[in-house]
Amino acid sequence: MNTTTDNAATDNAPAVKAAFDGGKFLSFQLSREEYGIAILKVREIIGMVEITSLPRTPDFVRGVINLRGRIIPVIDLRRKFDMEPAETTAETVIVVVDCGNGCDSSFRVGCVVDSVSEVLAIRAEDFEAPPRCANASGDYIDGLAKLKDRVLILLDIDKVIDDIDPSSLAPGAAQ
Amino acid sequence: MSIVTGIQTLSQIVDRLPAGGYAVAAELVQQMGTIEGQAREQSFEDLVQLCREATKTIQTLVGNEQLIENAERIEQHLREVCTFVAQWAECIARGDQPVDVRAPKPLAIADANDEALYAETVGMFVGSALGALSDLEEELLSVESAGERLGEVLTGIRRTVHTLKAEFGVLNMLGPQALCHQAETMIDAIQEHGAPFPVDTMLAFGDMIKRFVESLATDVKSEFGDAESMLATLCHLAQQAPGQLGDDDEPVELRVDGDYVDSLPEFIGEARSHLADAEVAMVELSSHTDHDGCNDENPGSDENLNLTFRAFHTIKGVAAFLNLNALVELAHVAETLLDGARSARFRLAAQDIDLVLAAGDMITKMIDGLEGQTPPSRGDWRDLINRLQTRAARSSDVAQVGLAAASAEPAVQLVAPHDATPSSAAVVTPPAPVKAGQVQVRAARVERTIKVSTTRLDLLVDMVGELVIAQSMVLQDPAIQCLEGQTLARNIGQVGKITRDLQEAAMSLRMVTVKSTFQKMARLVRDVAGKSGKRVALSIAGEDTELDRNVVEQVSDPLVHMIRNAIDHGIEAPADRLAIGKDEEGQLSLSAYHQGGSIVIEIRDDGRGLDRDKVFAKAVSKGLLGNDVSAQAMSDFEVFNLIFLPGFSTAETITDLSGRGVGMDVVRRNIEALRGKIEIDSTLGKGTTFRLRLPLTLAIIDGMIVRVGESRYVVPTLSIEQSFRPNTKDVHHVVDRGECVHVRGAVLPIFRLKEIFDQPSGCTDLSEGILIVVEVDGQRNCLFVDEIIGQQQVVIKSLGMSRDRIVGLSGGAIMTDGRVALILDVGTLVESVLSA
Repeated sequence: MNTTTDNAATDNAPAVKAAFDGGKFLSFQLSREEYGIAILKVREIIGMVEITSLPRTPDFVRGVINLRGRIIPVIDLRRKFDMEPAETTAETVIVVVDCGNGCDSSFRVGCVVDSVSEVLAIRAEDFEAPPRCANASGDYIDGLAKLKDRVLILLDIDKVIDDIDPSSLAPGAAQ
Repeated sequence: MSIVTGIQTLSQIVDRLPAGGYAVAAELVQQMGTIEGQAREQSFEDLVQLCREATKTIQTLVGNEQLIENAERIEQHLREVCTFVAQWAECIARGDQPVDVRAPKPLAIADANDEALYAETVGMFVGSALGALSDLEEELLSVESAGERLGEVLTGIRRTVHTLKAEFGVLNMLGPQALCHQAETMIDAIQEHGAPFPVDTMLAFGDMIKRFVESLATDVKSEFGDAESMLATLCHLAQQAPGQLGDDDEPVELRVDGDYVDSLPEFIGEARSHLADAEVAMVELSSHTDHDGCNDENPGSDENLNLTFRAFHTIKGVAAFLNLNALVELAHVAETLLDGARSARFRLAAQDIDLVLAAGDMITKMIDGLEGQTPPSRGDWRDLINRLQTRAARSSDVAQVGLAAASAEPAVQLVAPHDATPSSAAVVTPPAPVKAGQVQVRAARVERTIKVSTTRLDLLVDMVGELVIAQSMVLQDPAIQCLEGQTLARNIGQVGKITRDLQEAAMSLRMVTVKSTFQKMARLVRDVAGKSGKRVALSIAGEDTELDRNVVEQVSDPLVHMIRNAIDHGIEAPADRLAIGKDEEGQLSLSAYHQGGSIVIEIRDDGRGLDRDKVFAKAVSKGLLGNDVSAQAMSDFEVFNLIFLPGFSTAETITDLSGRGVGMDVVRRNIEALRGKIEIDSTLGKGTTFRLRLPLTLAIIDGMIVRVGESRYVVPTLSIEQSFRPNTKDVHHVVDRGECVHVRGAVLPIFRLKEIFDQPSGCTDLSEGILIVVEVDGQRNCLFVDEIIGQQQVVIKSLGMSRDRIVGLSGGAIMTDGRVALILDVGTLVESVLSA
């Protein structure tokens, strides 16, 4: 897989290593970059289904879907990170994550991604703190994982989802 | 004799006084001191006192620079003193008791100047005292939120009170000083014993002092007034503190230690069900009880008594395990009272039943307190315990009862109609003769149950719903449809049937009977009838009718209002009833039944009924109707509906039961919140019937599915009035106010869903779509949609957006094809557009 130039961050600042004990991550493709979500956050991966768009919500909220009788919101990570929109392909999937932001642990959200690749075990020594320069997704990055031939951007999905929590969904709060 | 010498020296000094000024005064004081000392040595108390007074007078005069002006008077006074001492010393020298010698009165210099000075002092005091009092108030108000700083705050309060006390002491105001002293003592006691701080009492104390200080500001000679009761209260509090008993207004303390917190929910649940059983039993018992005792021939009474006893006993046991002492104590005295009746020491009279019911209520409140609500106050708690103890301690009164019991009839009877379910028949029977068979049903009606959390239940219901959708998708799949195998077709049919049964069973899990609610009403009828001095027989039917749990919970309040109204306003007093040829006892019936997909709860009384003309006149006089409305133009139904208007009340007098004119308004709102309707039938002089028409469940609504572009929305059918394709000539544009359409004489604003929801596609030409007239809160508006797809019952689901809702949407519904359609909340939708 290709590593991207800007996020590989050659001039890494003296790495302030966050507490990271290693763990398993689900890697997925978004535009040309490869991201990872902690596997414990991921509830399931479903194929693309028809999404009912939700009026008066920020533009990255694609809408809601019916997940076996439960209605959950779906966000588009491409739009969230200001990437150019992509056609839905056979590989496009929705990663359903459980967001545990303490007070409301059952907040379940689907994330549309280009494709999922594999589950990777990341060791603590491969972890790097996030680079100081970052694109729109910068705020949501936990850190980087150095793999043999590429770099995985580890997302803090809780932070991403915090953004679509109540207040931002009020009318007019759209980006 | 040295005192005599001293006096001689003194009189020499006095001679020099008028010319001498301050220096002489100082000498005088010194000499006085010497004489005082000598007098004390020889224990001449009178003399000591006299000298002290004289010294004080001189010092005061010196301090106030009045010495010169009053020099002559002082001289006079001192000469008197000298003469007195000389005479006195003479007596002593002779060995006599100086009885006939009168000491001169202390010199009182009370001229205008002095008073002004006093007023000034008081004025200064008033200023500082008012400051201190406002500090005190602030401190008192912070007590409740002080938390860990409580000790600090209390010390602050004590300090303030102490300062006040000292200042009152300086001004010689004994009343307020004593009061402050008592308050201080009380605070000490409370701090020492950690009793709850009586904020309200102290605030009252502060107010009292403040009133006095303020009156001082206008008149320095104001009287303090009567502080007896406050003094007594403070004294009482101070004495109580050691016993851990707080102020009467403080809530009862209920705390569960960490180890037992886990078993608390279970206890709460069980206690509630025990109390409910006990209440039913007690109310039943009371139907056999007159004011003196209960009818022994009734076979049900022992069983009911035992049941109630067991309920209290169990609660007591578990509460003791959890260390809920206040609860244990209350349950114990209630149990003692019941035990007295059980062991036939005395008979249970109506007032005993009232007390036991009150005890049950208080335990319920305490349990509510465990769940975070305000527990009952200590005062009430103690009061109830005392009353229970008094009743329980009375000696046998069995002998007196017999005669009276025979003649009296119960105030309230519960009469089951013949078509009622057997269990409701258990609530029956006048005192005698007894139909024995009816009572025994009670024991058999216990149903085996398990407790399941509602989230698990909802999950099951969700999954079953999904199964139904998946099943119908499979069924409609073209590949399946063109299959020819008969077995497969039959099996698929079988799966379909099982799925539907399963869905029904799952939905029924959420359903509960209205029995518990109706039982509560039986209790209410008893209480209200007793209070209003009327005789009412309640009959209950259809109590096994099932409703969604949420509906049952929310229908209880409206029922309470309506039953109170029925008894208080509807049913006439016994004498009036006899006068118009009705039975003395009013009939009230409460029934529930299914009708056309909804549940109807009916409340019928045979009271005076609604007076159409009176209602109309009242509405006009209250300004609830326009002047141009004529009574003839309105149907009975419309007139009766006026009683639901806010501010309407026909009762001549307002009682504590009803009549404030808010009741029926609240009833209607509650019922409408449940998506229900309320109907009234009434015949003047014959009675009134209220019908509450309720949906089976809150989770399902009737919806009109509409399409806007690619999207589907669900509009609740309840809010839809009509729909039509508009004529272009009826549509008007109002500058800055959007579009309007003429509908049968009314001009209604048009809201285009496409624009409100930013839909990319959809009709823009009004004549190609449909306008739906929706009515919410009496306001009518038009929604413009592309087309109406159809009507369907949908299950309301949350949109999963955690706490907040999206304005204009009340949720989502899963359609038969598995996709999600959004359910409109017409009220907030319109509001949001208007306010935008």
